Amino acid sequence: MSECLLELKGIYKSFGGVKALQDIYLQVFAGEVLCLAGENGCGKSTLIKIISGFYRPDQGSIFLNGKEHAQMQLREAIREGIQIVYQDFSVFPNLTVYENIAVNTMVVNRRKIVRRKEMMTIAGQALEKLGADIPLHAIVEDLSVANKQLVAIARAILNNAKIIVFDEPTSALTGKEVKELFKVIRSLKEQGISILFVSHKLDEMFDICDRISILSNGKNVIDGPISDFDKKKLVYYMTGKEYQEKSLAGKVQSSSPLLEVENLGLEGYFKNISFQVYPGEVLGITGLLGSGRTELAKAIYGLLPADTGTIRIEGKEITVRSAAQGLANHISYVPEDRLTEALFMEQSITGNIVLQSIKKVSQNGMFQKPEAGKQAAHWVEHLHIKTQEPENPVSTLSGGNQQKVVLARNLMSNPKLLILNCPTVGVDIGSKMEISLLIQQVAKEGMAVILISDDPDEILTNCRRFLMMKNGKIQQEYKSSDYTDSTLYAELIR
Amino acid sequence: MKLSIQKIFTGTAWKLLAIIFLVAIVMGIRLPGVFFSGANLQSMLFQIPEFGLFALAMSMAMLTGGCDLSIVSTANLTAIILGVFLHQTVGESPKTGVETLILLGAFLLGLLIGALAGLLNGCLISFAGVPPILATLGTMSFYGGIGIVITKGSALYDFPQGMKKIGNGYLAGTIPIPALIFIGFVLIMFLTIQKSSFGVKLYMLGTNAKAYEYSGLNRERMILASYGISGILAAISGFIILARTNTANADYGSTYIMQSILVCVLGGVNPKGGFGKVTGIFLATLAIQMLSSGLNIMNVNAYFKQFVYGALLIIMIISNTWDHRTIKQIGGYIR
Amino acid sequence: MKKQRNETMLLIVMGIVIVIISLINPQFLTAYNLIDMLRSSIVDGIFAIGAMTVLISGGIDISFPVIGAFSMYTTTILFQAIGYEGNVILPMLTAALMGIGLGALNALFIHVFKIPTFIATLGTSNIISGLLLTFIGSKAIMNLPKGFTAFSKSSLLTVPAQVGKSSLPAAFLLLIAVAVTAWFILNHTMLGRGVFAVGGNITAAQRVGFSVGLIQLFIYCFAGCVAGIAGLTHTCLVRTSNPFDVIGTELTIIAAVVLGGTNITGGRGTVRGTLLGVFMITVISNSLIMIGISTYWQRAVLGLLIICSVTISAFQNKKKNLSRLHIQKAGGQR
Repeated sequence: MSECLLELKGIYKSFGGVKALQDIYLQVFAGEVLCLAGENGCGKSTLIKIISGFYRPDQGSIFLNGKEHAQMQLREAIREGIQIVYQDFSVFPNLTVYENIAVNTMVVNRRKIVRRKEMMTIAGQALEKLGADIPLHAIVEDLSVANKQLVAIARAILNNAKIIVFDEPTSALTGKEVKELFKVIRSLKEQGISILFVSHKLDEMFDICDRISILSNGKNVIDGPISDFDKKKLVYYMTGKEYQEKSLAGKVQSSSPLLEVENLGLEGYFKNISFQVYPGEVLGITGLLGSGRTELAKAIYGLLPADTGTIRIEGKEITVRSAAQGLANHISYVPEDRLTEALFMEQSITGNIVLQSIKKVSQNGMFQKPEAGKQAAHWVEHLHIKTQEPENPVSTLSGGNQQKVVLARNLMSNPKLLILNCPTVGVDIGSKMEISLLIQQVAKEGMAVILISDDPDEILTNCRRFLMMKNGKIQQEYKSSDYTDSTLYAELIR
Repeated sequence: MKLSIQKIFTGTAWKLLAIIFLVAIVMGIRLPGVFFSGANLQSMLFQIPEFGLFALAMSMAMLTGGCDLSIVSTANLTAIILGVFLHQTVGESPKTGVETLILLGAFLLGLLIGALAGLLNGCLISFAGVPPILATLGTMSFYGGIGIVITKGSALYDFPQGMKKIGNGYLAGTIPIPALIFIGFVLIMFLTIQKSSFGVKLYMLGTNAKAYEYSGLNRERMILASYGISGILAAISGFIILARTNTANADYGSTYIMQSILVCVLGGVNPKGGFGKVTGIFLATLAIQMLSSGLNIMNVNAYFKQFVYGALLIIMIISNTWDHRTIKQIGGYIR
Repeated sequence: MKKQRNETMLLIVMGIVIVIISLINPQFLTAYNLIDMLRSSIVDGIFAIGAMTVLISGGIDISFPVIGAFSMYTTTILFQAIGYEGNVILPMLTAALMGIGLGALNALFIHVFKIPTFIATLGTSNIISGLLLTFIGSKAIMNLPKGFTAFSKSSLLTVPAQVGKSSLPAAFLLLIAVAVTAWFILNHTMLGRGVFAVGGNITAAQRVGFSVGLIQLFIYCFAGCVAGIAGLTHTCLVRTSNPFDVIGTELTIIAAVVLGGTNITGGRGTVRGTLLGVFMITVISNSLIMIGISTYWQRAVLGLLIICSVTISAFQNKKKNLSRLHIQKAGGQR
């Protein structure tokens, strides 16, 4: 291996008495792609914040280019060549592309006066290095998600970046965009820049990384060249559990469909959508972001009403112009982004669970607290939500358990049709398996389920058949038994 | 470990009780005969209803994460329209039966005006998506302006005797009627916010409006309802003002806006929405009234009172956020 | 480009209003009336520049009139007490410094204690006005130091009016100076871009290395400084220092800023638009009188104007969000 750029030794960090990191050791070598892996809550994000100078470690030393930095500051880290591409990109929606890219350089060099020409040159060069073609004068809020990320990357490669940290960079990208991103990462690597790639998607790790370092519960578990690992081993080290790879999908229970969608269309999003879902079935819908999959789900639920076509539940035609109408027709929807679209973070777990079915725990409009508590306790136990006290706010739970709270809410409303939109994004592998089993269980009990996902593994594990959407249309129906993870992935991004 | 959010509010209750006792002790020592005299207690009971109702109105908006700056204008507009109504309907010496009927009609008309004013706020905020502060800043000026147009800038006065009785009369010779009306609405709001499913939904909406909508609940209707209720409570305050002062004036009580926000914050309502209890607001109303009466008795001028209120607002909100932060940190480490 | 469209629209609307009014009352479009309107826009214009800066950063400041009142009144008392004979520059600097100090108080509560801007400035405005009226004074001062009156008398341009004459005071240059300074800082310094950055995405601003604390300190100190200048200018122009005078104008001024195209949720706004907005409000209140509508209507019309301007601004934001979805769709991405 070549020289070591960044070395962390014996890092400790705790928050209010709880140890987030204990005795962490990490090395980043020049020109390598190192994957920092681990389940949610393992301490990855705390470690990144320490590297970026946002947090100070309680103990331990950081060596950067051979120099020790006990008290690293944010600007110092940037000057020393550490750059972070954040999960949310951290761009300024109201500013132009060139300002977004060059602002960092200007701030770090303590510039006082704005020199637009210089900023444009800097930004232009950075975009050229990435091979990206984005108009410099565009306002960033008008860009696509992938282009926003490119702006964030362009900003990162300036200032003689030596190490770029990518914090779960693929979570908002489509499969095709992920490929483009990996191209960019490889070219950065060729230019001698080291990459610290933070992720918990197994396929991506094997695709892009040279070395891997796994954390669990704030401690180092193992590190080594990626070639020493396979999927099974990785999952074992990350979760301590064995990796299962078999289809869970059960049998269809009735010959009459629960949901029939006919020629559904919404101008600008999707058209001519027709399919059926049967009770007891988990129908997969796969497709990239922007294929219309989310809009289709929202249309069936009523959040984004369709303008043509019909929806029938148990043979009866229904009109859904709002989510409330969807709910009234026994449709339940688990949104894509649980933080902003599903959870009431500071409110109690109980409140979050019973909200949708509040009538069940009310009498004459009065909220029956004991009854609500009983219901919540039932769901906490049933879904193995890890909490000591259902009256605690949801924010005290881990990502996987938060998602289970959302599922509990949806299941409590006793829907006939459950639509899940990417239910396991940002969920640790342990909870992901539990959620899969839960989906199968509710299907077995007679519910019809639509599972939207662009994770081939998830689709193939849970569904017998699935539909693929591209450009707002359903391509065709597929049988899961005909595909493996990699062939489906290839089909998806074709 | 039990870590409920309620703890914050028991914290709030302690703070409020501390303020109440502190004022009581200081006043008891300095002015024993005056502060605890029946006359002073009665005059406090006459003053509480107006701004207590305003505080309840403000809390309805604050629980959704908004703010309603138009409450005082709504109250004044209501008083003015009712004033015109009373002038038009009540002759020189109406019979008691007719007068009671007319007063009842005026009260109902007041509720209607308040509801309409509140619903306009609600429409601007929910359908047009105007930030609540700016929307209600506009309607505050608008409602006040209509009041000026009607009164031509002066005040209306001379209303029927029955109205004066409502505003200045006593039940059983001791308890002021406005205080009874206030207590009635505190109970109604207590049931609405803290005990009903509507209240649970209100808290949820205030915490995350988008998730509220995605859960299949009607966001617009809820915002309309809460601003509508806010308007109604403000209108009732206007009715009491009309009855008590026997005048209707477009510029009455502009300091009440600040005072009602102060009462809400003091009572533990989170200005970002989602948290706050009627019990807290009620205690805070008492605390502020005691403070205000105390300052009055000590001959502190109105301007310095303003200073005290401003400082109290800042101190209370700092201490409230402090509590929240501690909870969040503890929450963080359970994760 | 987008910012200009908003301003063009405002100009067109203003043009239409002016044409209609001058058809009804030809007095409206006379040199002296225009100068009168410019004259009455000076103080509001200066205040508005400060209010705009805060709105761009995503906050709202309602304490600036009180800061203005405090600075002007205290300065007047101070310079009257020492029997000051010089020109207005030193008092102006004093008022500005007081404004900066009071603005720093806002910044402290907002940045260090993380109090929502509305609540924080509501609190400080009560604290400041309480202090002013209790300890410094509550009576209007009529005999100002000589320098003050001299400043109000110096005029740039004088035209004959129906009765007497109408003149544009030198204070107009002060408005121009404040506006140019604000324009330069906001558009040509990293500090100014920092204000926009904070208004666009405060976390990202922190991450790229902006010191958000310093930026917020600047924003509220600048608003305070400008308020101090506006306050003293007001005193000079009306030749009285009345501590109750400018208090309560926050509503109109924020309305003018929003009317001038500053985004109600932060991140966007221009000096030019703000000045246009202020002038628009003056034109409308002036024209109400001109076309013979009773002054009782002033407040209702102003309220309606605020409601309309914030509603239009909100709808524009909404439409923008929708069309963004479509653009991304067309690009095949989201």
